[in-house]
Amino acid sequence: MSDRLVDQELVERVQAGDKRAFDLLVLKYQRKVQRLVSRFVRDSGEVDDVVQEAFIKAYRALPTFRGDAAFYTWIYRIAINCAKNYLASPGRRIVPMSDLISDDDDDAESFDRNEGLHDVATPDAEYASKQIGETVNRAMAALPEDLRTAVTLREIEGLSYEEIAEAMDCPIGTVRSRIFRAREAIATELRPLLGTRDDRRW
Amino acid sequence: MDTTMKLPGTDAELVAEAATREQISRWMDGDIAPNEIELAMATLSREEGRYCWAEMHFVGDCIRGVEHAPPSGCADRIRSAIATEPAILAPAGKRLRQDREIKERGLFSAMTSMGRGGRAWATAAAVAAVGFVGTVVYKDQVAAPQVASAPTNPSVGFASAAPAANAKGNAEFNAYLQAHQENADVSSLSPMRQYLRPAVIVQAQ
Repeated sequence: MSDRLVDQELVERVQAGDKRAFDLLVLKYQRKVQRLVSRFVRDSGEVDDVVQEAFIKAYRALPTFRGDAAFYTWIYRIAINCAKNYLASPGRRIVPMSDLISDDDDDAESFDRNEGLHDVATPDAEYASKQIGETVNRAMAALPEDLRTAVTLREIEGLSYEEIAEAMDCPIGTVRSRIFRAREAIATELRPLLGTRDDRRW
Repeated sequence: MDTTMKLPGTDAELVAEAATREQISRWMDGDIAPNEIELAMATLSREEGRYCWAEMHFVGDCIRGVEHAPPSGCADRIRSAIATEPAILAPAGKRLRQDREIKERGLFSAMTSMGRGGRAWATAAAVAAVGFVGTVVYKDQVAAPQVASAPTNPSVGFASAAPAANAKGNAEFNAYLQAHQENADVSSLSPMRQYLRPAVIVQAQ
């Protein structure tokens, strides 16, 4: 089953009345949608409002979702429309791209570095983001070579378990184990930065 | 070691939790057999499963550089909002996917997988389709001679207006028209047939 089929399975469950399946889709895609919306909306609080609206609209429109396109392209389209409607609403103005790029950034690549929530993050949030980034990099560097390779092939290159097994010349069960152990190692390092599990928020 | 999180009490619980987390890790990558889906959904519906699913996706997003910001609680707010929405009861997606799969697999294998009842319905549908097509073709075959003999009908403008010099052209046109009726999807043209004669008059003039 591919990643897209996992989404399709969840979508069909939502269409059959299972709201928990929609929660799993939200947990999976909320950050990507946030990042997308933040290209249009500058304030992080407003970004969350637009993201919430996008997911609620998607939920209401799910009975018409036929599965011809991938769920993520569908939700992205809804999110973009929500962001544009939000900006077009009375009292709002569309932020020109030039406003999103600071004066000292004159090359196109700098927009990628500065776009999104990071533009408008508070100093605390910016510090937390920096800490998380550094922690992930440190945890990745500390991984044994075979774990790092397996998780990189999966998360960055998007290879399937079968393809990774072939690339690394090992059984598929070993691939499963390596990817899990890599994720666990990084998650263990990240947990102190995300709050205790009693204070879980996603 | 994270000292702030609650740990399960026994080694058995630790092993079970690790096994569950490993399952969730591969499920999120689509490494799941059809017979495991129900188990996966049951596991993920529990708070521990949901937390693990969210955490694993967060780790993946961090590795890809999609996000390094700490969770803002957005998903929790969306969950609360969705809780107030009515549940969807439109299993159209599954039906549409099954339809697509049936087309992809081909009719024969589809009928095989449908079982005896499904085969009976498919056979009945095929018979009905053949009957419908047969009726349409028979109707048009009956109508065809009228078109061929149309030039001899004095009430038809083409026949009365056409001089002898056009007789050859008329015959060719009628031959073409008859061939067209025999080979084309004339049922879709039936409502248009009344307009064919005036068009011919313009052509003849």
